[in-house]
Amino acid sequence: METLRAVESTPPRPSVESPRLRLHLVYTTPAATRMALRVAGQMANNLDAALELLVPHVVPFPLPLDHPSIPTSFTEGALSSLVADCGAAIDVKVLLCRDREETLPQWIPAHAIVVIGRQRKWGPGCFSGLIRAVRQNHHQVIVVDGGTKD
Amino acid sequence: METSSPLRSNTAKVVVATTVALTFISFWRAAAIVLSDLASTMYYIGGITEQAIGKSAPWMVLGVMLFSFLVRSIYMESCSMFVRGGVYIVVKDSIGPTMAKLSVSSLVVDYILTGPISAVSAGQYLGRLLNELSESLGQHWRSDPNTFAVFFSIAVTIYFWRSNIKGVPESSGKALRIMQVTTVMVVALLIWGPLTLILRGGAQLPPAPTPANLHLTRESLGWLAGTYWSHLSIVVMFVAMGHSLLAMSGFETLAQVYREIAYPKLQNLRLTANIVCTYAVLSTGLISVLAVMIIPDATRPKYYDNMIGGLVMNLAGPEVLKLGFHVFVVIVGALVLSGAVNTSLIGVNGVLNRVAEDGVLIDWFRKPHHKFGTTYRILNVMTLLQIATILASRGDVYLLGEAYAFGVVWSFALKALGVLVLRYQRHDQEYKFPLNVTIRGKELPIGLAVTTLILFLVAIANLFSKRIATIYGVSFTIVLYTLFLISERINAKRKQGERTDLEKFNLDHQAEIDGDTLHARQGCVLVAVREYKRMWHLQRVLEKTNMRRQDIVVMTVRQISAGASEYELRNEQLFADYEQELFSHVVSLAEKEGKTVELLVVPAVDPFDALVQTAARVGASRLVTGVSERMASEELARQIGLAWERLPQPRHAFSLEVMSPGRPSSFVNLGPHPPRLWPEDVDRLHNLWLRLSEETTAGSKLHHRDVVGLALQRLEEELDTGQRTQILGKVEGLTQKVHEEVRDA
Repeated sequence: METLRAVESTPPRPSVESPRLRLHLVYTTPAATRMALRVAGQMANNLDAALELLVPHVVPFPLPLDHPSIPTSFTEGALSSLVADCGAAIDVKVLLCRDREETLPQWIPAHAIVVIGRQRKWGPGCFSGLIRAVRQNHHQVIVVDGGTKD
Repeated sequence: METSSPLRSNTAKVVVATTVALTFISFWRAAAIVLSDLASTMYYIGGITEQAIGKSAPWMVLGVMLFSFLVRSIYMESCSMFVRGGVYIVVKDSIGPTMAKLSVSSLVVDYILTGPISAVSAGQYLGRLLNELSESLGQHWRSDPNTFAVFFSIAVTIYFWRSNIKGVPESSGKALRIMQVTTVMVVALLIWGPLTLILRGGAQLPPAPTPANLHLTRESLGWLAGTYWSHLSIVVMFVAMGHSLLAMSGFETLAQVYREIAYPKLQNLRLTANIVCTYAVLSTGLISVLAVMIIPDATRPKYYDNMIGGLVMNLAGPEVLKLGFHVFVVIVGALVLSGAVNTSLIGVNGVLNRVAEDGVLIDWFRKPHHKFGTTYRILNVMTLLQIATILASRGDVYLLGEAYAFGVVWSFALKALGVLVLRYQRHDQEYKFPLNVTIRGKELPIGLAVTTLILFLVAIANLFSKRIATIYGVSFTIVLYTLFLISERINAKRKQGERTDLEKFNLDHQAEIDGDTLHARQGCVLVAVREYKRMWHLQRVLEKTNMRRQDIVVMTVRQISAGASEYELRNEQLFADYEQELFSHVVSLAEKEGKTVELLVVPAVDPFDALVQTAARVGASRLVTGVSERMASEELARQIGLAWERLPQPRHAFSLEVMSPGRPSSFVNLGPHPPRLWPEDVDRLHNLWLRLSEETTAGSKLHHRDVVGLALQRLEEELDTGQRTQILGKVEGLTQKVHEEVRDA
């Protein structure tokens, strides 16, 4: 029986991981993500793991959640260019949300390996809140430091 | 809602998909989001109203804040009909597209002026604080607050223009944090203020807002000055209210947050609105009263542009402490007011993008920025208009406040009129504005009508008394309305016959479906839908289901001919306009209940097989369907039961619930299950058990289940004997009797 799924608006249930190892990357900035992609791409090839890039895209009030100020087609195009040189098969999931730190943990399965790239260790661009939010959910977080400002 | 675009690079497969990660928010967070817009008015409303109507102004502000409870009810009634209903949608649906374009024009005027008034007010607070700090430190440096406010507000506007062009977002959590800090400030003022009055031995309350005490200047009477109307008490009251109504600006955000408020939505909306209105009464209302009571009459005029700053500096206590608190007040003000500048740009961009989707604005405005993808042309035009407004005001908050009132009051009035008209056009209001009287079967919405009338009278009073607002607002509205009209005609030629009111769905083909691919847990509820006008069963499932325990999967069967399964079906064959419309209604119902659903289209030759197979594959505990127009519910249940029998072993057991409007559901358990016995059969079983226990040696070792087991065993054996025909006749007579009893009931 062939079926057709039409809508997906709820996070996947945090259950047991699928048999194939899956690495989850979290988008931060283009430069930091590019660098994290390089590291995660190598890891994925070595471990024969699947790669997923989660892009939490915050839509501020009073905009409707499904109408971000940047059209989704533009974001998808920019991301496909960003991940093109990664060298591994990758699923990119853009999450239109109101709050990055609250939304992201719901979309990562339990006890997952999460790779986050950041430009600096303190101040703006350190993404400490995001890293803390992901760590609080018992994931193994690999932080990739470095990257120049885009 | 999801859209996806599979993109392939040369080296590896890349799939990019966008998903709306809808998280329903609590009423506290919703209130914080609304208040971050609404509470900013407390920084400038006191000064503006006192300049316009005199010392009674705080009572009028307090009155307007109490009146906001009535406006709350208008928004609640509109939200109970439109999950995503801002002023544009409500007016368009009720009065028509022309008034909708006018209402959205006034809303855009509101947004254009929110930025300048907030930024200039923040500049006034900061400029005057710097002067006070300089004075306290014995320095001679002073700045002209108006000039400082102009430069500061232009800098703030450019900063937020740049951040909006780059698409830098602010999370909703930030609004909550800002409101927490603001609450600290409000609580401190509400404790320190009365304490000051006690230490000083009390103070006079502002004069009551009677026509005699309302001192309207020539400027605040506008074109009414010197006319017969200016002597009428009722006119004076409405003009005074018009100068104070500005305090309610920001209420429109309530309609924006409704979609994301958690279940039970309407109850939580009421809580949100009550928190917002109570907060506004306590902050904007009471602080305005305290300011007039604490700041001496002689010195108060110099604080008109920074009334809270003036209030702080006139509190009892050491100067250093007051100065420190003043710095805190200005920091909070800068946060709240700057947030309002940002929201004004986001809001106007969103509104214009929304009307552009409706074909009311030409696509030229929506061209995305080559690097950041944002609609930079809308942002550029709106920012230029805001900067021009700041320059024209020369940093005068009163002038901006006068102009600002136009958009605020007309948005409210048109929204109220829209809701009133809908009382006679629709009958699906889950909440109604109170005070409805039914005379001869006809409902008269007295409360709603009176509130709408008050809003219109205030709007008309503003039209004649606020010259600046009328000239500025009417000019802008005419320009915007003309722009919308021309754009609409251009777009209408291009997009004839295209529907824009439907949801857009991503189609994700799956050869096989199961709970994991659907993100539905085992034991979910599977609801079958076919006609969007007959979805009461889905409505009931949405109301009853506890989402913590069970997920809801909504499926429809796309019937195909027997040969079609040999070929791969195209998207249009599987998901035609009808399915899109059907699922748009499903999503709308689910959003209204604040619950999420998984949607599924199953192409199949036999719809009953499709329903049963899907229920088995997703591990549903219940399959829910509405009664069919073409088939009796018993026959529907039988067909589904037969389809269940055709499932391969082992068969997944689940229950079937057939719902009909206004009647209790009928349940059928599919697969092996303990029967629900009729009361007389339970009695019969018990009597048999008693007799057998006494007449045999089994005694306490005999259970009811053993009696049932024995009876079934005998029945099974007798079916293979000469008694078969007699038994079958008895079974038919039994079902006939049950059917007649149900029908009679």
